[in-house]
Amino acid sequence: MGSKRLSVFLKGIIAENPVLVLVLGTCPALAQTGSVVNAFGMGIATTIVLLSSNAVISALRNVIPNNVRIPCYIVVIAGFVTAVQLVMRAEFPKLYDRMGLYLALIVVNCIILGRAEMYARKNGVLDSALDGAGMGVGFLIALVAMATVREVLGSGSFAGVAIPFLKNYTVPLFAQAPGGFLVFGLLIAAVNKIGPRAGREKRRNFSCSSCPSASSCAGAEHSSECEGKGV
Amino acid sequence: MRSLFSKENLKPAVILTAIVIAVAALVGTVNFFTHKKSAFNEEQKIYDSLRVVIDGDFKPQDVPKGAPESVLELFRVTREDKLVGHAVTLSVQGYAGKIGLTVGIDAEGKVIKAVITSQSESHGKAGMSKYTDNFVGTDKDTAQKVDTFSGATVSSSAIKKAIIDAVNTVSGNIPDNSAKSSSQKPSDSSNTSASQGYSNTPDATNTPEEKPFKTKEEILALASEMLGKETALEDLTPENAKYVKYLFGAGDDGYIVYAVVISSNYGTVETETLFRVGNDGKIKNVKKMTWKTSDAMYGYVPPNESTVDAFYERLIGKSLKEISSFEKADLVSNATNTSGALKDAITEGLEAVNNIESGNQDGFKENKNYTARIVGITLLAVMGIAYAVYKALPIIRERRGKSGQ
Repeated sequence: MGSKRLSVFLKGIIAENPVLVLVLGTCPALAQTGSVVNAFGMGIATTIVLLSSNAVISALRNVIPNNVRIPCYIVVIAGFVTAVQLVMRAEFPKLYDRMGLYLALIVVNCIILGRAEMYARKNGVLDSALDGAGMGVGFLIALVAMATVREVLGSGSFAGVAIPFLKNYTVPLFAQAPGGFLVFGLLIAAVNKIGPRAGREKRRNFSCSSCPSASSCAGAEHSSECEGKGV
Repeated sequence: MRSLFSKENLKPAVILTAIVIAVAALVGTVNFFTHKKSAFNEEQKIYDSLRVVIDGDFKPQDVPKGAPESVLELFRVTREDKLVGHAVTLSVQGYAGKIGLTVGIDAEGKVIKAVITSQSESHGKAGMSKYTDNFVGTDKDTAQKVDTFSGATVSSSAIKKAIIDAVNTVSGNIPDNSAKSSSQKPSDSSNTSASQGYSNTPDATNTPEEKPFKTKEEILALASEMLGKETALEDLTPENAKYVKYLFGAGDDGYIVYAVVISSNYGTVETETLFRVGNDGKIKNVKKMTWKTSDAMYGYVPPNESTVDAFYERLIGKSLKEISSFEKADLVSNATNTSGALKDAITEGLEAVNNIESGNQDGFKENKNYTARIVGITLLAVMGIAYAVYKALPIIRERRGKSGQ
């Protein structure tokens, strides 16, 4: 049981990393990775929201009717995001100012709604919380990795601290959007090649059995009907 | 037909409403515990900014009637009961939102320091905090003469206006229309210079009677004046040049170039420039000449003599490579179009000189963008590494598989 729970937590870090494997949450991944400090703040905030919302949605999974589940999830997520915003404004005002609009946009981050829909509503509170925490930590690691590359190469600094020998050799492209996409793509490629899914055969059919999230996906209930049909 | 108020319809609505109420209660609870700290942080930010701009005991005062709308609060600052100055907090509309400032003014009405407390501008953020340093020591008259900076003209104009409002409020010099300089509209019928597209400030070198573009004889005379002697000048004017009208070789003294701009990539600008290039390819002298520009059409403060003078000074000692790599930030704010047009004209003149020096029709075509080279090399290196890893991985896995057997 303990190892199963550990695997629930760990899968969000590499095997099902939300940014680099599932390719979710690309908006904050690109917008907040110009600086390591911003990336760290965004990662921590998202992790807290993921953990809390997964736990609450899992606790209410037998109460929330199917036909209003999405609005209920959004309300819960928005509530936690607002709470995080208020706490950050009170306790970390400088980080709050730096993150700006992107803090509020965590509400529409598809990782959070996606995990609520795919995992939290079908599993227990503890497992859901661990899944949320794992996904959040994976998101944090991915963002910090991207931000490290972009800030070091693009601005010649790390977490705002200038690196002396890089000061005159920065490539400003990396600090801007095209560089962000480049780093993002290269990291995805690296994880695909080096990660646990490396060496697997290329997917030829796109049915549910070849999807990494099949085990927890609501659509997987109908997968046997779609098997072999290339759906 | 199912009733609207049937159990199937009511249950989801009730549950959703209950969740909304619960979440609202959560947010309200968090706000209850944090709102005081947040309000304190906001006040602390402003308080810290007051202490940064002027030190002493602060006593709030009523903002005078008729003071500009940008003025939020006014403080009288004393030290040991002696007046040391005033502090003013302001809020002005910038490019992308409100800009908050705090300005410290001494007892003589001069700016001690100004800091930006809040802004959400999209342009020129990095330069804005340093821009306020230009106002240190200025009073209500000299503050007007501080240039705004190109690339963030609207933002810097707003900051300039705010600081001038602060100084005017403290000195009791509250103008009838304190917003006049930065919000001139082209449709303002009283501003004939804007509607004609001319800069028309009293000390501008452009006078209506002066014919802007010179004849060859006039240029030869000006060239001799620039060289300080009568010298035989060889006419080396290139063909098919866009801006260069005359180019004369002056032997050991280099070259004299006269370039004229009728319209440029920077808008409707008419300007001329006469400059001397040494045999090392660098600009030695630039003669101030006339210009007409439509900068005023955009509602900014029209360029004046000192504004364009600042650009001329930047040209001395520069080579073709340096001038052609001027970016927008190197041009002069409030004369961005004029200085941009001058840059184009001078760049062409320097290229023409380089062509002559090298005897090569193409001249020295400098690669102005080293960043592109670095990016290209980096991309090639990354692709090479990725390819090597791609080739090496199957071999590594195969060896691991064999050792595991």
